Amino acid sequence: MDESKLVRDMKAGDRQAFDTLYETYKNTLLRMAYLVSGSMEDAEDIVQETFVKCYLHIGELRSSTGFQSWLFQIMYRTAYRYSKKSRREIPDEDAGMRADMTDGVTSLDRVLQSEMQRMIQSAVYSLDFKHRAVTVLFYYNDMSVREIARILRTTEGTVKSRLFSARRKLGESLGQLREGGRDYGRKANTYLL
Amino acid sequence: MGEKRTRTFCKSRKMEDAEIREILCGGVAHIEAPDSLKQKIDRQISAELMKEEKRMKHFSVKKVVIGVAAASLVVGAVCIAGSGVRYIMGGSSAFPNYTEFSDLEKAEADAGYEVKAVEKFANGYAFRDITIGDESVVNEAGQEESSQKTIHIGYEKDGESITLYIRGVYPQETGEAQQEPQYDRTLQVGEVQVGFHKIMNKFVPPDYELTQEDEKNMENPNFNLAYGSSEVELNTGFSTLWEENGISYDLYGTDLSISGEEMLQMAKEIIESGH
Repeated sequence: MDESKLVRDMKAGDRQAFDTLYETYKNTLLRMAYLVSGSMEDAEDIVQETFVKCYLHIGELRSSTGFQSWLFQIMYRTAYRYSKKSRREIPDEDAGMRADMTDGVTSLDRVLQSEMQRMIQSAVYSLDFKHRAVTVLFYYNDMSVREIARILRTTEGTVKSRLFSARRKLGESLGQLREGGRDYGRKANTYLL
Repeated sequence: MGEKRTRTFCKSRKMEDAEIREILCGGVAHIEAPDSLKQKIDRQISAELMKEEKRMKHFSVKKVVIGVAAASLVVGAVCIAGSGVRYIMGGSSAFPNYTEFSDLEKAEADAGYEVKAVEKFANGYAFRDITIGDESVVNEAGQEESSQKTIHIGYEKDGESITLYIRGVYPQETGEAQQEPQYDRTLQVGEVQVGFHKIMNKFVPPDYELTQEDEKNMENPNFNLAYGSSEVELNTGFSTLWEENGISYDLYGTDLSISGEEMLQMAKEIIESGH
């Protein structure tokens, strides 16, 4: 359904429109919140607070076409507050790994993939909140510098600068990983033989 | 040579970006919002709405505060027994419509009703300008129920400003659910009762989180929390209110150096002006 219409309906007090918008954004928002907070518990709290604020303040959204940016903006402000509160910089062990554990048999590719995820996520969490937010919006949400600047209420220059630093750090991790991965692969193959 | 190196660099950066993107997305692809999350959200929304309704019952419709020119913001709330809360939204241009007191008649024509006012007060406050504002009553679903033009007459003395806010009384304002502000002092002028009280104003951004102190202040009918500003702003409002012939008057200024008694006398001058 047309999102602008849903937003207009929600502004008019249609609870079902809110439910539909929730269904549309719940997973995206939860994943983003997890990436910026590093904790599933905080991520759920952040998403809960974001949707409550969204419901209570929808009347303040001027353009019904700007819903997504507005929602993301609320989420980042909320997450920023949580980051100050919890100061949690290291991700939970649980969520990052859960996807890779299946029937107890872990293939080499899967181990390497999991290791890559762990290292990149660690690199992301080692960034400060503002760099992390830019990283998530750019890489996870695939947003342009202009869109990111609008959501984070900053200049495009600042976004580019943060992205440059973040990219360098992530690139370094990726480089180490490739080197380490090759060694790890060789060791694992030796072991399997 | 340099160009080739740049192209190679861009290509490798794009590949690296794609790789990081794939890893980040893949790492969280399995995360899904549990059903319990929606239940918690629904519960919290219900609780917040109940809290809001309770809070609004402490507002007075007579508490008219225009804090930010050219912006539309909630300036009060009307409680109607059994039919929920209505909000009064108000705003005006940052620029005055008239700068001569003789143009008051034009302002009356714009608003569609006649008002009382003076050009100069005995304490030295003198006319500055007139601004026409817009105001509407909006129900909880965000639908506009009624609207009107308001007249704001500005006065000045020694760098301090006082504005006389004038508007018609809304039909929704009459009723037993109506709550009077707690006046610090009152004055009877003929059949008109004038009340003076100070208001603690707090203007906050849309996503502002209430503090424990705010929650406590909500119980005070002379505390006004208005959403709509870009940052938290605090001031003390000096408000002198009365109604006459279906018209509501509020002689209002912030952080003034004059007394409540002096403001009541200014109101008396207006009521007795016979304009």
